[in-house]
Amino acid sequence: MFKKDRTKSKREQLKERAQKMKKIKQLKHNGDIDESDNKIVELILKGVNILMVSSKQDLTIGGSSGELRGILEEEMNTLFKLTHHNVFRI
Amino acid sequence: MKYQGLFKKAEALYKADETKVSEHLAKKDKDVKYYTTMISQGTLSDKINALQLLVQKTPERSLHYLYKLRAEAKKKNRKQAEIAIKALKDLFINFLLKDGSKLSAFQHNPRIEGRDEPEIPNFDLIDAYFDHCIKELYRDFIMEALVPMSRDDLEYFRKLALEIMADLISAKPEIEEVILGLLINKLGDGSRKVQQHTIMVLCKLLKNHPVMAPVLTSETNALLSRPSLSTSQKYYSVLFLNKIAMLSGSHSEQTRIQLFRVYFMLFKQIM
Repeated sequence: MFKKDRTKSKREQLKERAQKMKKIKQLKHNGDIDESDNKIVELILKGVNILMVSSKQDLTIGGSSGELRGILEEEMNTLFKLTHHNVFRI
Repeated sequence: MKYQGLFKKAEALYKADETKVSEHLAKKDKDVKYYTTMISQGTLSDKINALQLLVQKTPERSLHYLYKLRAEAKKKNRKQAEIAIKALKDLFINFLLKDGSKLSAFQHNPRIEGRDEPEIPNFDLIDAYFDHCIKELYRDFIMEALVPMSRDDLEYFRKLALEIMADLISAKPEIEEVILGLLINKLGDGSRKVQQHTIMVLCKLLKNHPVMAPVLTSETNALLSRPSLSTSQKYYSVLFLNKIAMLSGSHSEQTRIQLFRVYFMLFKQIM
C-alpha cells in the first residue's frame, strides 16, 4: 500500500503515512468511501447504474414484483449516500 | 454388495462384447486395419487421429481406445497433450455425452436401480456399465487433464483450457456445476490476460445460455466472499458482474434482484 520514497527522510515518510492512515480511519468512521482507491467502487456503481436503467420501466409502470422495490427501499440509505457522494454521484 | 456383483458381471459382458465388435471390424473394415497400423507405426498426431476415428466407428464399444486417448491427454508434454485433449473434447461433445440429461452412475442407473438381477437383460447391464465408465472418464478428463492445464505456467495453455471447458459446458450439461466453478475460479488468476480471457469466455457462454445468469452470479458472489482476495481478483469479478448486468439484466428480474443484493453487500463491505 505504501511505497518507499527515497527522496524523503524516514521520519517524513512515517509522518505522511500516519496522516494517510488517519484520513482513511476518519472516512471509514463517517461511513464514507476512500476516494484514493476507488476502482472497484467505480465498477460497482457502474453496475448499479446499469441495473437501475434496466429496472426503470418496471419501477415506474409498477410491473415489478414487490421484491425489487423492497430491496431498493431497504437500501435507500446506501443509495442516498452514493447519489450525494463527492466523487461517485449516480 | 448386490451392485458390486452386478458391476463385475456387466464389466465382463462389456469386455467380451467390445472384443467381439473390434475383431469383427478388423476383419471386415479396411479402414480399421489402416487405423490400427497408424496406432502402432504412425507419428503421435497420426496415432491420436486414428484413435479418434476408431472411436467414431463404434462409440459405444470403444472404451479401450478412449482410455488410450486419456493417457495421451494426461502427458506432461503439453504440446502432445493438447492434440489428445482436443480430440477427446470433440468425441465427448459429438458422440459420448447425452444432450439433455446427465449420465448416471451404475447403481443409480434407471435400467438397474430397483430391479432384481434375473430381471435385468444383458444389453441393459452393458449400457449401464458404459454410461458409468463414460461418466468416470469425463470427470477424470476434466480433473486430471484440463485442471492441470488451466494451471500451466504458459498463458496460452491456461486460455486453451478455459476455452475447452466453456465449449464442453456450453454443449452438454454433464458435471456443469464443477466446470462452472472452475471457470469462475479463473477470474482470480494471477495474470490479467487470463482474467480478461475468462470474462470473454464466460460472456460467450452467457450469450449462448442466458438462463445461466443466476448461477453465474451466485458463483461469482461466492468467489467475492472469499477472504484474502486481491484487488485485481475483486476488480475482475465485479467487472464480470457488470457484464452479466448488461447482457441479462434487462431480460430477467430475478438476475437484477440477485445482482442488486451482491452490489449492496459489496458496498457494505467497503464502507
